[in-house]
Amino acid sequence: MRILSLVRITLLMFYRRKALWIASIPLALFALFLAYASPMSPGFSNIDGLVFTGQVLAMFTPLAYAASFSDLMTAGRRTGMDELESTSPLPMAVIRSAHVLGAWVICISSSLLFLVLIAVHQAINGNGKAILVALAVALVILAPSILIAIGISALLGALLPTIVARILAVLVWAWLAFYTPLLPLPTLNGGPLAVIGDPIAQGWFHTDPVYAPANGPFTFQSGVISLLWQVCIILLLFTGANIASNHIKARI
Amino acid sequence: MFISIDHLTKDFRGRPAALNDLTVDLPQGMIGLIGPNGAGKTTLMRILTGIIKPTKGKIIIDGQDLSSPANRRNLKRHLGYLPQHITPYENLSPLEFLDYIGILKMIDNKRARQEQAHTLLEQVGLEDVMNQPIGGLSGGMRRRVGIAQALMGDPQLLVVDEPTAGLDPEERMRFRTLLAQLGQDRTVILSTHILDDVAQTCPWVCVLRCGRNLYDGPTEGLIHEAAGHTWVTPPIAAPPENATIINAEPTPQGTRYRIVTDTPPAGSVETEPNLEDGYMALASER
Repeated sequence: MRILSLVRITLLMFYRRKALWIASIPLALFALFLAYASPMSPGFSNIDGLVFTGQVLAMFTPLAYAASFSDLMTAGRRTGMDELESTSPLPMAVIRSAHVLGAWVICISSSLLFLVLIAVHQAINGNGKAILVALAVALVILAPSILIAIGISALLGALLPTIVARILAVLVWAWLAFYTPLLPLPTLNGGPLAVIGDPIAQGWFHTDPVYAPANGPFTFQSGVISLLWQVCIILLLFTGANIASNHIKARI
Repeated sequence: MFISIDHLTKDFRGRPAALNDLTVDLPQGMIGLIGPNGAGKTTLMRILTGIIKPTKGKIIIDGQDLSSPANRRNLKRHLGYLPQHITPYENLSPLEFLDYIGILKMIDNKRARQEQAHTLLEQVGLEDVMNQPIGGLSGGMRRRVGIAQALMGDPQLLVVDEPTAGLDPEERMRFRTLLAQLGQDRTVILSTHILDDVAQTCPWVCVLRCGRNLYDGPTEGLIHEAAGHTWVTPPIAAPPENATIINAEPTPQGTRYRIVTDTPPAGSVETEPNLEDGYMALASER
């Protein structure tokens, strides 16, 4: 309950960050436009369309979050809030987890809303499973990608000056999301370690992946591996950001 | 709370020790912590509040050794802290911010948190702006939000670092009175450069310099350091040599100096010392 109370307050903090909305809403709308108008688009009228829209949202909106959360673990140092929060009997890891959860809920809300609206439209037209699929897509495709983008940003922000971290985090996300396997440089896309949900989309929802798989179609197991891999990355990123931030605080 | 600090040392890499084998006992009540910049006051407060750990030595509060994580966690339940520099989350209102602090202090009952927050915001004179974003408040008002948050949870140990910096005189006196009331049944450690605040509120004082204890004891005792050495000169043209000048009052005939010295200029009149004189006498003799 206590962590929920903390999340409630951090939700308010992030909800009132105008810059976050100004960056993320246009990207979400652009992603929706692409999801509808792209030659790859299955349209908005079936499950494939929902999954594809979820993937496009998972590729574009994290660009805004990669740029926005470089101070997630370090803003408190500048404002003195870090010191104050350190005097709480609650472990700092719990407080920071609440901040991450609050940020995540706000970040996923706009994309989730768009997905649910499409799903409701489909449900009205007879696709009874659409809303459940939209929620599932949000949970297993959108949610991990958003957390990874926030985590990259937070980790780089704990290690580098904020402005450098913002730029680098956007570049890292751009590499993770948009670097095609057709180019002669390493990329995670096309393999089970992709972070934009291709293995889950094809393995679990049986839709076409954004990037063609390098070694045959993704299976259900590829989806499981992909999700576990993303959970590991998320844990590593936030643990690293927490450790780096604490290490710097101890030196001040 | 009785605080015993035993051979406390804190080293920061590449810098002189912030605290250097500091040993001091602090009784319950209002305690003034004074000293020049870099004396180690903030470091001592950060160790006392569990933010950082000492390099060597230990702190025992009411028989509980703070080197144990369980004891530190227990202390934090009864602790209020106002850091020197704090900008509360700007897009929260004072009421929401105090609610957040209440959650951090493990006050689980929402109604109790809200009631405390209301009462404290009234005590610091922010009742009219308690629902406005903190980002839109003046510097003094934000400072008062900081003061109110330190009092959430009715802490038994209150550590305040330069609490009156940025407050107008009326607010300063109001906060001083509030602190003095709080100090009647708990321990309040007040770090400040405003010696008048210490003189008015703290019966006990600790003076630090270069991480060491220069003096700890009754405030009267520190004032007594300057007894027999505090003088007011007649109006003269140049400041007296071999004297610590406390203040200078221009007059048509020249400047009248209040000094601490063993060798006053001719015509000087011995005067009753105050805390400033005592502090300067102590600082100049060691």
